[in-house]
Amino acid sequence: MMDVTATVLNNAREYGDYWRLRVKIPAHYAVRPGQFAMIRPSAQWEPILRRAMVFYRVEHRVHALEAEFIYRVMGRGTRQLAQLRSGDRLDVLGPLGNGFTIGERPAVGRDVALVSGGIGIPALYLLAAELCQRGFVPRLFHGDRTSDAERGLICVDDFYALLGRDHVLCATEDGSYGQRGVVTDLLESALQSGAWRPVALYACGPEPMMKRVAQLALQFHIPAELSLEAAMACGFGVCLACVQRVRLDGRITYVRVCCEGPVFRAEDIVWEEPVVDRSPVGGMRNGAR
Amino acid sequence: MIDLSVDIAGIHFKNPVLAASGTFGYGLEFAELIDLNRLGGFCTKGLSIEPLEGNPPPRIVETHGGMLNSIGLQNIGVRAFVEQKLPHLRKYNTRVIANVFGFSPEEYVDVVRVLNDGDGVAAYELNISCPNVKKGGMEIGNDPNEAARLTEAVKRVAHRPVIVKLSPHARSIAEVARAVEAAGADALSVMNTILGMSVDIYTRRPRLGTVMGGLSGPAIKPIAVRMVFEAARAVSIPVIGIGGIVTAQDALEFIIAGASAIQVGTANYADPGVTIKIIDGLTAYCRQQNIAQIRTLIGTIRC
Repeated sequence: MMDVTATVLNNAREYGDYWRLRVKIPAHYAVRPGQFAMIRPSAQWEPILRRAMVFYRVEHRVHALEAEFIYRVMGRGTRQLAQLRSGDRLDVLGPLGNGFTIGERPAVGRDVALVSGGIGIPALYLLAAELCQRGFVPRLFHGDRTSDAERGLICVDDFYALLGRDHVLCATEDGSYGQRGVVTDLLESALQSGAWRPVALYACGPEPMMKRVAQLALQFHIPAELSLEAAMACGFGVCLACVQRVRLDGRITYVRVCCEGPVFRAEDIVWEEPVVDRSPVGGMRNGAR
Repeated sequence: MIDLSVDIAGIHFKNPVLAASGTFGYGLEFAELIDLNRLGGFCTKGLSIEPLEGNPPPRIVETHGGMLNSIGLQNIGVRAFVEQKLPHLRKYNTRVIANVFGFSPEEYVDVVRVLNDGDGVAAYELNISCPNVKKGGMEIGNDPNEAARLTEAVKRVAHRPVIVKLSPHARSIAEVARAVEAAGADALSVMNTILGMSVDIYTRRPRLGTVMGGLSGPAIKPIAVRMVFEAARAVSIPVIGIGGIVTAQDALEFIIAGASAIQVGTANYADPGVTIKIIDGLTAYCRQQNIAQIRTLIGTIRC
C-alpha cells in the first residue's frame, strides 16, 4: 500500500454517466484482481473523502504503472473526478483490499461464472484475464438497466475481446441490449440447462443481484466469491466505517470491507434487511458517490 | 532551527501535531504510510474494558465540508491493546495517548488500571464526549458535576497524566472545563464531534444506522476554534485543540486562540500523510514569521 501522486493520461465519458479514467502511477506494485484504490484530485478537501475504485486494467511500464478505472458519475466526488483533464494530478492510495482468490484447476471442469451488474463489471476484468491465463474458461453474465445506442454496455467490448462474443451474455431491464430482464435470470437458466457446470463463481453488483447470486451458488453447489461495497472513509482499515456482518470461526461478527474484503465467500456473508430504494439511479451507489 | 516542541502535563512533545482518537487506529496502521517518529503523538482508538462490536452500518455519511460518523467505539478492548499493540508501538519515538472509554465511571477506572501496567503509554485521554453510545460518553461530558466526579475517580488511580476530552454539547464549555480542572485534570482536549443527522430522501430513512452521528471535518472548525478559545480562557491547564484541521493554517488558528497542541482527525482518512504536511507547514510559518519557538505563539490572540 502506498499513496502517490498520479498523472491523468486520459479521462473521458464512455456514455451516459459512465466514465473511463486512465492514469500514470509513478510506482511499481502488483495489483491482484479485485483490489482497489482510494482516489481524489490532488490536495482536494471538498468533498472530504476519497472515492474507492477498483483497478480495471493495469499495465506495467518502465518506471510506472498505467491503470484504468471505470466510474459512474453520481455525486459531488465523481462529478469532480469527471472534471480532471490530461496532465492533472490525483492522489492514489493503493493497492487496497484482499482481491479474488483463484483456486487450483480441478481435474474435471474449467468453466467459471462471472456475474456483474452495472458499475460492478470493472471489478471482474483483471480476474477474467488471470482466469484465462490459468486455463479456465470464464463466461460473463452482465446486466444493466439500459444500454447506449452506439456504445452498447460499459466494458462489454473489452470482455468480448478477452473472452470471445459467445462467452459474454448480457441482459438489460429495458431490453435495449441482450435479453430483457435481470442478469440473475440469465445465470439461472444457464445453470438449469445442465450442460454448463462452472467450478467457481465470482460476482460484483448491486445488493439484490448479489443476494440472488449467493442463493444460486448455494443451490447449485458452486464455490462463490462476491466483491461487496460499503460506505468507506479511509480504505485502509482505520475508520471502521465499512463493516460487513460475516460468519467467522463459528460466530457472527463485523469485519472491514476495505481490509478483510471487499471479496468474501458467499456462504460467509450475513445479509442485512433489504431497504427499498426508490432513487433514480439505484444500483451500486458507493464507489461512485 | 525552529523549535516546535511543546510541554503538556509534564510530557514533552517534539511538535504540537497529534492524531485524534478514532481516526488513527492503533497507530500501526499508518506505519506503512508515514514515519510515525515524526509525529508529536497520537491518540488511540477509544479503549473499553471489553471489546466492542460497534454500531450497525451504515456508519458514515459524507456531508458538505465533512462527514457524520456513528462507529460506536468498535475496539479490540484494552487488554488486547496492551498485549498486542503496545509492544509494537514502543519501537516508535512518538507519544502514545490512550483514549479511554467506559459505560460507567467504574469502567473508566478499570480501563485505566489495565493501562497503568502497559509500558509505553504517555497519557490518558478520557472520552466523556462520544455522541454515538447511549450510556457513558456524552451524558457524562455534558454535566460539569458528573465530569468532575469521573475525572476525580480516574485521577485517584491513574499513573499517568489525565487529559479530559470535552463535548461541544455542554451548556457552557467553560463551566465543564473549570469543573474538570478543579477535579485534577492535567489537560483538556476540545472538542469531540457535534451531533448531526442526514436523511435519504429515496428510502426516507436516516442515512446512518443509528439515526444520528457525530459531525466532523472542516465544517466544524469555527465552532471548535471558539470552544478552544473559551476553554483556554477559563482554565490554566493546557488545552489541545481539535476540530476540522486539515492544514497548518488551520492548526495555527487553534494555537493562537489558546491551544498548546492540536489533533488532526477526519483529514487522516482522506490524506494519511496530512499530519506530516501540517508539521512541515508549521515550521515554514515559524520561519517566515521569525518565531524561534512555537510555544511562544500559544494563546497570543489579540482581542
